[in-house]
Amino acid sequence: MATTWKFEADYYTNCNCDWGCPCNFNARPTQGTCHGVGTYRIRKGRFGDTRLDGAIFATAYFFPGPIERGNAIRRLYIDRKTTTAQRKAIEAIGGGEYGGGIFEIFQKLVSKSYPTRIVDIDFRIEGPKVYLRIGDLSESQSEALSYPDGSTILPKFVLPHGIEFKEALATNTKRWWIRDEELLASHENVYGAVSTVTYTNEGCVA
Amino acid sequence: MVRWSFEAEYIQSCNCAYGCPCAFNALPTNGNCEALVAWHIRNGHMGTTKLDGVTFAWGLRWPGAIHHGNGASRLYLDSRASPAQKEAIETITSGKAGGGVFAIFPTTIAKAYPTKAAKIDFKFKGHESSFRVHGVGEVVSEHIRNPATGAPFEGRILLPGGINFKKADVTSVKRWQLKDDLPGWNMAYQNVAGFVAVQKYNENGPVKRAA
Repeated sequence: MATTWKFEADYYTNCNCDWGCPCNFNARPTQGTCHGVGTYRIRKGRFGDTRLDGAIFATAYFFPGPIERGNAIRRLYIDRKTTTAQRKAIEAIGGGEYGGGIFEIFQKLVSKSYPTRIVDIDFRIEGPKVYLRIGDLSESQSEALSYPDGSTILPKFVLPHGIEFKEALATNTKRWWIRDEELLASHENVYGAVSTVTYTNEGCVA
Repeated sequence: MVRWSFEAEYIQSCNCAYGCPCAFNALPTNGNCEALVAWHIRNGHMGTTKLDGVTFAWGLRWPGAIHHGNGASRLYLDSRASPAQKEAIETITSGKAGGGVFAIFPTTIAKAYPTKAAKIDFKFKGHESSFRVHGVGEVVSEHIRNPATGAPFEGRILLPGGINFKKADVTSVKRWQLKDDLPGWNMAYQNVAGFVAVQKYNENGPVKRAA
């Protein structure tokens, strides 16, 4: 039987789409392509007997078209403050070998997976405000969305069938960039979302 | 200001991609905004005028993003409405009586055409809702489909500060069209953004309901 696992994590995702990201509703990505990073800080979790509490990791995916058309390149980044056993567990989960909703589904859409990098990940999240730094390779800053008159919106998605989150707060990613081989991008004032997510072998469950 | 409030079933269509970027203050998918939306009032009043059962639709057209203004609008009022109800709905949609979207949209409208009375069929059935403004146009909504599996997709947007709704189901408008004898009013779209909601409004705009 496959190893069972579960984690609850703080989650932030940023991509190159407009605020709200049309892909959340099965519309086409704003620019035709998808550059996305998803970052998790596990509050509490385990993979088999390995405890994952406090582990931070991020996955970057670049799709040349809409996600469901595949042909993506990908890299997994794991925070240096993890044990060898935790790194193995996160590689197994991130690699989609043990179910897990987005991890399993996205892996089927990846045609090139770069080797995992172990780097320092600085991940600070407080409501819509996020600061994320992945080594010297990527940086992202998020804040609350606002209306043209400057008042904040704080819009929420509710996606009962969501493979990534069931509920999330949409944010403005003020600026993000990544420079790691073919994963090369720089975007301003684009989509962000923050959530607290729970995943198991069955996928995103909350 | 005369006090008013109503709870209504609401069906929206526009020319944007599913989810409508404008819900998040992004720019409209095609650069401009065209929309046909409608409310069927379950119960409500303006002053002493009862509004129960009144149905009205709003045709809306802006050359760019809504907040850049210079829009055009026309109210289509179900022909069964009484003169007093007509006056109430015209007052609300003219922006003279507050009400969130009803107050804000008129500030972006350069040309509000005279109200047209028409028979309106309004079928509220969650994602599968539709309405028809006889002789003018129609909106037919359905579930968005998962592009990989074809499964019906369900999603909601919650907007705590929303000026039009606080909570709505995201739908696909299978088709909508609006043709009227006004300059440029010949709209026809397929598989675009839609929302359905049950929403209560008063002078202050849409009222947040308990989840």
